[in-house]
Amino acid sequence: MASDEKKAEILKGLHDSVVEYEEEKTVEVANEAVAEGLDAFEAIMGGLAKGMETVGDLYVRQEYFVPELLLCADALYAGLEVLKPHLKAESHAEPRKIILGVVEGDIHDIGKNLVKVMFDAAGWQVFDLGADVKIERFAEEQKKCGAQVVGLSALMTTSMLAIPRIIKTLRDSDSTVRVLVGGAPLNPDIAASYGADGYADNAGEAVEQAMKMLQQA
Amino acid sequence: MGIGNDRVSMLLKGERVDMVPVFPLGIRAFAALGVGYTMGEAYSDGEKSCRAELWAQEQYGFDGFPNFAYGPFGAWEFGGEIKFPEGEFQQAPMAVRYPVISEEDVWTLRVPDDISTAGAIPIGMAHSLTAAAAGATVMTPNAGVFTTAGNLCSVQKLARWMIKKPSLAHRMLELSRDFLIGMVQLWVDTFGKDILMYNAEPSAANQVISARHFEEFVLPYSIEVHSAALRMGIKHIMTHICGDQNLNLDHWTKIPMGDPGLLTFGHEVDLHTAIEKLGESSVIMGNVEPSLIQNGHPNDLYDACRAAIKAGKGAPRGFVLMSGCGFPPKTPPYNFFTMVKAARELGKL
Ligand code: B1M
Repeated sequence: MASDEKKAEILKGLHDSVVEYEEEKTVEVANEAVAEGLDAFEAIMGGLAKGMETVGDLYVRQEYFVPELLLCADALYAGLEVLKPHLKAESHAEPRKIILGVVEGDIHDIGKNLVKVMFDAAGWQVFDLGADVKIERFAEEQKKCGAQVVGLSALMTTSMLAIPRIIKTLRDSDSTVRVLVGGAPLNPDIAASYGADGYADNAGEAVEQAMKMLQQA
Repeated sequence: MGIGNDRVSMLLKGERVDMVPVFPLGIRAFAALGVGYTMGEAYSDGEKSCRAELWAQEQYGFDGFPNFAYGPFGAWEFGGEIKFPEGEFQQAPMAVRYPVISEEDVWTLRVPDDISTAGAIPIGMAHSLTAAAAGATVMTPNAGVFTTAGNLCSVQKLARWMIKKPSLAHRMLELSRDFLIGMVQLWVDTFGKDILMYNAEPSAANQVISARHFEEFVLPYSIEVHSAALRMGIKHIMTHICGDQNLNLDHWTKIPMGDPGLLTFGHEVDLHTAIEKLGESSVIMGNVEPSLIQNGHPNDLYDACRAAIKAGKGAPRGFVLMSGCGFPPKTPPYNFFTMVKAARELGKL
């Protein structure tokens, strides 16, 4: 069992290697966490996910941009790969599930990919449908995987018109599903007028909003 | 053939105009729908696409000239695959297969031997031939060197390589640069030097990359492409500085645009700042938010046009009222008329 001091050092190492997008270092520290008997859930949440939170702040402050974010995400995923197999059964129980996709007609997927990273970092199980996703597919996939939340991303005024249609098919199929929307042309008012349960301005906020929606459910 | 006689062309020739011109950027899809063509034909049929734009110009009385450009330009031209818009919610082509998948592909990819037959080039050529026949100013298809490079391998791959494997990123940019210079040469050979080169750089926006990466990966290649075009005798380059490029503006001042250039801005850039930094050497165009054009109440849109005209009217080389990005195809016709009306009523010079 790692001492408190060692534990703090490992968590900081995981945090920093994600922030500094050092993939190999992240794997190294993650392996150290396993070797030292650190709880994998704690290592993920207190190290890797915390790192990604810092990365999100750096992006909002325009200190980091998409290239840096993508490399931080690579480091995060490399760390997750080491730690996930060591999660204890109780931390496996009922992960929150979200379906993510960019709506039909829209190929702008950079934002959605960053949103996905934040949900992965926060321990959600993410079903990523990619970009240009046909309207009916969201409800079909939701039925299959039972996701509590469906996240829709749209970057164009033309493609965002698909959102109310998707929401209708989702509600028709499962009245309890929560819908989160985001993307440059949207705002809270448009989101509400489309019948969405929540809107997020950026990837970090997306996770917060989704958590809120589940608490309200 | 040559530079036309509409108000935007007059500004390029240094002539006085009686009012702020309206030039909706990339109106071809809206125009195509307005004359009963499909959205797909706006991109897949150069002649129809240009004709629809000219008819829309006649109908609404706006200025400017037809343009054939689309976001994923480069993917098909280098051997990848694109899909033309067909469904209800699409507005432009999208790349479905990039020509570069692996790192090895970067070193085997070549600029197409015959640019005139590559991808959408014949469509763009048919578009320009139609414009020239109608006496409108001819413009090359899209030529943003960084955005084109991103369209060869995906922006996300290019972004990772910029930090981890810069030699791969630079190679993508060299290929893109050589292709674009070849394409501009083809247009000059066909139409003469009295044409415009068009450049759009959505992927270089600060929503995507930093000013530091702009300096390393966008600036030098843009200077090379623009300088080559100007050496060919082209006098004006129209550049769509897409999205939030506030941190890049100082770099844009270092890229030659011709005399004057034509610079179009998204709503994310304040017009006063754009004029202060670039208005001495270029006509400034912009920047009404596309989502307001499509979804806004005509009164709100009119107010937004008023604000843009007020901010832009005094620009030293002239100001053009324009959508902040591609004109939204599903815009209610009255909203477009509102923009023209605002320029007529508030833009008298
Ligand atoms: C589920 O919950 C959530 C919660 C939060 C969510 C969320 C979901 N989804 C996003 N968020 C939020 O969190 C993310 C991270 O913080 C954020 O995501 P974003 O996606 O906003 O941010 C990303 C991290 C970075 N941002 C981006 O990646 C988008 C940047 C801009 C400049 C942009 C880019 C890069 C591109 N483009 Co295009 N492009 C623009 C963009 C300008 C803008 N204002 O957004 C926009 C979106 N494009 C536009 C256009 C018109 C087009 N583009 C096109 C093409 C392209 C490129 C291929 C060149 C490239 C995309 C590459 C790619 N694979 O994604 C074409 C369309 C292609 C298609 N069929 O989809 C084309 C139609 C151009 C044409 N005529 O061909 C404009 C749309 C106008 C409109 N309102 O309709 C545009 C807004 C530019 C502008 N200034 O107006 C938040 O919005």
